[in-house]
Amino acid sequence: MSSTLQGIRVLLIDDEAEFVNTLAERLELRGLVPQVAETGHDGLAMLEDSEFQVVLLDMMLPGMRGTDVLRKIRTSHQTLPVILLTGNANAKDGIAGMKEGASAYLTKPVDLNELLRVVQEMVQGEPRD
Amino acid sequence: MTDKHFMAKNLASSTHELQNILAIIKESSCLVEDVLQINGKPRMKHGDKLYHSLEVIGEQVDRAKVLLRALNSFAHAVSDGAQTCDLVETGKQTAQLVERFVRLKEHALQVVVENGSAHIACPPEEVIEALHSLIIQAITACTPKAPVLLRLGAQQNGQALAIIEVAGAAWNPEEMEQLAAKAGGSVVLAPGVCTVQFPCAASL
Amino acid sequence: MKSETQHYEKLRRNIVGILAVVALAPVLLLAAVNYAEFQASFTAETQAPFVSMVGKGKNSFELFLAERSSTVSLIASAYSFEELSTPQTLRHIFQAMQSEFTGFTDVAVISDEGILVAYAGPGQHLQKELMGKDYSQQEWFHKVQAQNRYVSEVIEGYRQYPHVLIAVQRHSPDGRSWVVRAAIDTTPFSRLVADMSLEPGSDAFLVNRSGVLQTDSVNYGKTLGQFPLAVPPPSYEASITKALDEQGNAILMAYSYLRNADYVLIATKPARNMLQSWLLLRTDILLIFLGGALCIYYVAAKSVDKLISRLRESDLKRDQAFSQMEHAQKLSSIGRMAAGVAHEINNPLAIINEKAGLMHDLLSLAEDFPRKEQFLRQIEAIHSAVARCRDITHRMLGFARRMEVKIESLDINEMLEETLLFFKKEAQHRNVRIVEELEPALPKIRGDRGQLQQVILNVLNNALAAVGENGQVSISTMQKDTNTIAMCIKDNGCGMSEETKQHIFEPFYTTKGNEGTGLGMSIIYGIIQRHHGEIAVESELGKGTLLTICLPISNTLQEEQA
Repeated sequence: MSSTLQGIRVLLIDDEAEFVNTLAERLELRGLVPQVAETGHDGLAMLEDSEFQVVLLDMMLPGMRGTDVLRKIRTSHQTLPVILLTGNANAKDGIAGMKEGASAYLTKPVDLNELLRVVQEMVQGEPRD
Repeated sequence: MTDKHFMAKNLASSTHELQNILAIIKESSCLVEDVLQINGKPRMKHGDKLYHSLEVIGEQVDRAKVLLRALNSFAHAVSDGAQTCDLVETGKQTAQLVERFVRLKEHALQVVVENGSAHIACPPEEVIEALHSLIIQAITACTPKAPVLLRLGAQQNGQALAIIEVAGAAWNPEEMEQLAAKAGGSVVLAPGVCTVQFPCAASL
Repeated sequence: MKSETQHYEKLRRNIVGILAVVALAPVLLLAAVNYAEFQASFTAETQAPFVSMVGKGKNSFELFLAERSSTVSLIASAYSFEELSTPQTLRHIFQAMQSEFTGFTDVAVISDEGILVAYAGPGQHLQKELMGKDYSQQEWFHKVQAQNRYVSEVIEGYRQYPHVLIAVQRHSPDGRSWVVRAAIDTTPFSRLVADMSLEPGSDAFLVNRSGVLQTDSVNYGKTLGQFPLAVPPPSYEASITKALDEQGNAILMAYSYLRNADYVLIATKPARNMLQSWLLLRTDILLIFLGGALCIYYVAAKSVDKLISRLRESDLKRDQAFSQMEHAQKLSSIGRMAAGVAHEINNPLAIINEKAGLMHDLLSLAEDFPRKEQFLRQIEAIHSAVARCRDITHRMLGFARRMEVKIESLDINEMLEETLLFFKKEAQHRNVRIVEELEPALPKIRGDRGQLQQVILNVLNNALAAVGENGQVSISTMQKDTNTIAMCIKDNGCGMSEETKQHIFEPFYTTKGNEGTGLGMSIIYGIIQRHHGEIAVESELGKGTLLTICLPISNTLQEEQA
């Protein structure tokens, strides 16, 4: 499992610095290549600059909200897998996100193994239409 | 039992349960710290990182506790059917509850306590509801990133005041009056300043 | 609130009005007919005696005058002119007349030339004065010559008291003619009037055709005075008419013309008198009518009041339901706030989780050291505590969400498709076949999107959890009847035991390993119940489960007590 995850470039967009940095560190320990953005703007800018295979996007962001960021991503990267992250177990939010073109959604706190499973699926699986 | 009470009881027990579990986390992290201590940090690989992690865990437990305490006392007040409350205490709780919305709008909320306490004749949940809605109102249309100030506890003419200050706030007088009236208060609006007056409770 | 009260008051008035009109109209009609008939018969009954009294009076007067004129006539024909011209004989005759009939005051014989030739009466001086008087130019003399018989109006003349003259012309076979004229005192007239036995307030009298009173009247003056009112048109039958007296009071006037003299017998009485008795009678009718009307009104008003208060109650209930909805909306904002906090707590929890995870990672990579096991155990404890917190916050969020109710038009097929998006990947991964048999013409239903989404999410999740590799989950929708749609979720998974099936909808009942999103079947059951729907489960251990959810299409959904 870990072999397939080696070198996967992941963009983490979340305003909780401690959370997102620790998560990045843990992903790094598992051989992934994560980068962190603390706002939607930064995240979008980083997407322009470098290639990512997967985006992990928090829905609750200050200023530009998660769904707005997702919409922006979809205008330039139609097939890039985006995993939504939310503190809300509300199916409504999840479904709204899926409608906007998210590939999956996970609730906080995240079970790392589940996150890795989803990332692996995203990267291995065919891109969504 | 009404929906409101049922819900309040549920909230109270949930928050209580969460506080207990947070205490467990705290205990566990302290124990880990003790083990680290015994082993001697300098000799441990990643010793600093481990210490830092424990520190952060402690901080986050406290952060969660503050929120839970506010929600818990609010839930208790509602389930007890309290008809009076301390505006300062309730205002602080409101600030904690609304902080997230304010932050998402890229504003910062600061609470200024002008008087230690101000006992008012309004049910706490209504006051929280009103202040909460008024603050959300205030940041809906105002100068971007302007700081939000909540002054609590000043008294005049038998009224306790909660003053919301946001630069460039475009007040909607009717709506604000309605929101305040629901809690038994009234509003006085000035550019960038919304003063909410609540009747003081008869002294005990 | 005031306008609402006015609204009910108006409604009440309208209904009472309509009821009263409908119910009272026949009664009113009946009363009117009754009234008219009563009035007619009453009038007939009260007027008839009055009229017949006048008739009788008239007869008495006619008889009186007929008797007198017959007497004069008899004298005229029984005696020769010579005999009558003899003062002694005439005085003798006069005495006989006086003794037989009251009222004769004198008698005179007048030649055909109109010269008074003989006179018998009370005073000798009058006799002297009248002897030889010439009547040939007088009107009455011409009348008696033309008609043979004449009754004069009441006059005072020489005699200084009211009297009537009766004159009869006699033709002898030898061609001569003469006139016998008698005067009658009118005193007997008042006796005749008195005999009519008048009620108090009534009046009876004689007038001539030009309205000169021939007898004294109580109300209209003495004999020979002018009767102030118009003399009614000629009728020899007793008749009745209404008139106004000088003061403008309504009076009833019964009258009859006399056949043998130019007199009219008139009796009057105030119409009010009759009216009073009529009113007395009418009061009875009125009372009965009013009583009936009151009864009808009372019953109508009472039942309408009841109706209105029922209406008001139901309106109130509806309003309360609305305000409860509003309350629920308000609660939902408190709920949202709680949800916000719960959500916010997830952030520190996530951080703690990551930190603990990181520590675990670091220590796993590190070589063994003293108390490593203890170390890892504590970190594991933090992990599981975070997991417990997450469950609670998710429960809080779910709970807060359940307080929110927003009723809208929902397409169940669309919702199923949407929710299936979540599971397609997992199904693919586990090689589970998902079969959709959705009725394309499924009508939309009214309900809360969030709640029903939770239901769909959970039942699909349960179905997928139940089937193993290569399992199958079938989802179908259909319209069951005019107001019900059904959604069936069938799996060929592990199924459930009889015991599980019995308790599945009970709160806090969970089977191990069935994690879900924190919403138990009891909550699903609650949501379906709130939507006035039904949920049924058929299951056999090892064979699979069929869950059928029926929901009404048109839903008078209200926020009910939780």
